[in-house]
Amino acid sequence: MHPAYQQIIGMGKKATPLILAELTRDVDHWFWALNAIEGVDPVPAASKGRLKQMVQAWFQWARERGYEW
Amino acid sequence: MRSKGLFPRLDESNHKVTSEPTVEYNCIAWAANESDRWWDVADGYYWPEGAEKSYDTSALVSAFLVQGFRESASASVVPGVEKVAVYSQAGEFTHIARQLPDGRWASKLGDLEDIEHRTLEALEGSLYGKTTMILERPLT
Repeated sequence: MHPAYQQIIGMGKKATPLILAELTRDVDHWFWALNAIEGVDPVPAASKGRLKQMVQAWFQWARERGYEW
Repeated sequence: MRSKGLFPRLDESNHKVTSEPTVEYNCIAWAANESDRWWDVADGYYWPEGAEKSYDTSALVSAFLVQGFRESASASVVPGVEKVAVYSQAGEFTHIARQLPDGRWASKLGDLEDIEHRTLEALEGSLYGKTTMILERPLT
């Protein structure tokens, strides 16, 4: 794993809104970090691997838990 | 071409770029003739039901075995047979390419472009390692 990616995961839940903000700007592979930090996988089966839908699933999950980004 | 430099054996004569870079799908999806989702063993991504979930080469092989592929004796073109080539390094899968009817190979390079390449060796090197297995199934 890239050291920078590892450091972000090491920030814990403080990194979640930063990652979500990054996903707002650019759809990219931050899901492994979100999974590692939050310990959940909110992506429904039909959306697995479909990046834009994965982003939306994480946005919805985060909004429901009061995250702001 | 963003992938230039990553694959020293690729040159103008042995491949052509066939798409723009995209993160919508990866080599595994492309080898399975899909272009709308990213296949990965990590949570949140698509991985075939019943396939082994790890980064070991055997997991990628199992993802194609559950789709009706079996090990193939060679990478030569056989009419009516679909073939894919698994690349591995240190026991872990790195890439998979799909054979085209004329014997060239179709590859999606991570989140970069799709390419068509004349030989499997063209992508071998420090990034993808070597071709370690050919799988085949009858074309439907």
